[in-house]
Amino acid sequence: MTPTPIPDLPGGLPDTRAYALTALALLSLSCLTLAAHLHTRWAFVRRLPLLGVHVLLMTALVAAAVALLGPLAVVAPVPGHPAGWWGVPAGAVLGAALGVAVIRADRAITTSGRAPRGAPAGPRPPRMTAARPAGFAASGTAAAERRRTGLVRARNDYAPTSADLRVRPELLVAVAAFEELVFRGVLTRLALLPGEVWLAAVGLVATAAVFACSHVFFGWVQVLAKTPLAVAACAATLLTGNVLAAVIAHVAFNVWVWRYRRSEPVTRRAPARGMWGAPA
Amino acid sequence: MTALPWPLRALVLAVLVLLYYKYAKAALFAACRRAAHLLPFARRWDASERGGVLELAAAGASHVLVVLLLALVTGVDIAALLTGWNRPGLIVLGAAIGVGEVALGSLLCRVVIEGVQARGRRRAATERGGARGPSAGRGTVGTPAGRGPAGAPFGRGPGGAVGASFGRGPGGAAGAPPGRAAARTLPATTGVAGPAADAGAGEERMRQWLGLSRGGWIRHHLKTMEVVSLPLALTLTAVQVGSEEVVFRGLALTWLRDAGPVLAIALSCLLFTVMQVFLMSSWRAAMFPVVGAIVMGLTHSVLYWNYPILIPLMVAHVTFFLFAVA
Repeated sequence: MTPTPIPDLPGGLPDTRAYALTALALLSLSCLTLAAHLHTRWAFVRRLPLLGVHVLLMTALVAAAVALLGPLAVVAPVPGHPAGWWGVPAGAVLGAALGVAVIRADRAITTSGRAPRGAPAGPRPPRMTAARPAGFAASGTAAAERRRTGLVRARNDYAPTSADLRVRPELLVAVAAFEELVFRGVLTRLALLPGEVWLAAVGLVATAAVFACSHVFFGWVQVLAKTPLAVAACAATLLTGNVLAAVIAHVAFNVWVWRYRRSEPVTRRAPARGMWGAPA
Repeated sequence: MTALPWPLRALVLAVLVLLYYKYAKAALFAACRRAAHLLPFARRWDASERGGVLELAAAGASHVLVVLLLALVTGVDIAALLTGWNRPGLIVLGAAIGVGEVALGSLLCRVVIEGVQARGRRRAATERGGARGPSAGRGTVGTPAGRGPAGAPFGRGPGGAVGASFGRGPGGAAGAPPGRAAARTLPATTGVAGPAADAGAGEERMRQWLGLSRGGWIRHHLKTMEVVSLPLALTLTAVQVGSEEVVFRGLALTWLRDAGPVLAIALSCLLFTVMQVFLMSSWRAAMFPVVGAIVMGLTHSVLYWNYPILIPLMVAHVTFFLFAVA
């Protein structure tokens, strides 16, 4: 018994093209994990910031997708969408609205697990009697721990850390734009390629799920928190036919994250651990 | 055997897989560990290293014999399966597919690990809250999200190991603030059981999990990579995993072609996944190869079903192993 050669798929895919599209799909789905692998594996890659490696990898993936599927497939993944060029202004408006909605949803999910803080179990800290300088509570008091000004927590012990300087806003904006080109552009086009509705639905759901799961490195809550962004960006892409709305929403979200992050004061770092968990 | 209906063929295949991958390999590895003490390289390699190399060599050799036996049983022409040598483009793409599979597999493994740990943290917080009473327990509510500093490279374990490469995650990227904020917004009265302690314990559990993943049959791949030269290690690995491709894609999918694509691919993937669990020490240790087998089994089976070319899939499998082990 010998294997029966199967003719090309209904779309007329030769085997090389099928292999290339499979590799593109797998590498696109796992681009952040792959960037982390590369970043930790070789010293010359480690000199770059992780987000820089991530952006470079996604650039290569987008270039491969342009070569395989054509340039329009990356920015307008729904072929023959009825919106046409009207999808561009519609995407811009929708993207701005989605950005605000996604930020609110993310904040609601990440803070929903916290109960309101009641009175501390121990003795209360001594009340400040002297006048507070510059309107900020001195650190160490209950008022200083509680005080918030919008998203930026007002504390008087803030100092920029090296991590703050490492995560640069331009990198975050590039990450947002390229992630949308990969997840909403390339992968949406790949999901729509077979032409069957159920296969496309499975592909789109898998893409959104993997996008949310790729944030698992920051905790399980972050997977739940990124699900609204994934679903909203996917819906906006299908609605307008292009990725502009998804890019604008994601860029707005990442700028908010950057602003949030740079307002964070120095935290206590976990003690350094060597190989096998022994103290370094 | 070629005249059998496909359910009986599937049964025969399942029995042969169980017999070889569970019982014959266990006996073979036990014999290899005993024989390792008789080998003459005691000063250069310890017994575990000698045993690992011997196990992998024996596994590869016995695998080739099993492939020949299966070819006799199934009547499939092995030489006709081994196609694709003359397609360098496909071989390069096969390597890219292997890299994508290992990256996607490691992401899914991380999802499973975080899910299990989050459930454990929630249970611990509930127990702690119940033990301390409502006022003290309130401080621990935020701990499921409470993590270490954003830049902490969670899961960076011992270098060059399967577990380490599966667990390597990006540290210090953009999504960290909310988790970090949750850790910080706890009252100072939380005490030693606060988020820092929990984050430390989480890292410790992650390290233990990654350590477990180096056991079982993965150990002989790791040991071989460590002690013998790269070309020899590559050859031994290629014989072993290449035989798996012949069995689970070439022979199984060709023999079960009458069952249709869905059933044949499902059976092949199921056998391939179940085979990974054998000879692993626990389900936690087996999680890494199982998740990898699901990703690889589905991808390779669909590709092989439509394009019966085996060599690029073997290259993908070897690349997967190299990326995960080396």
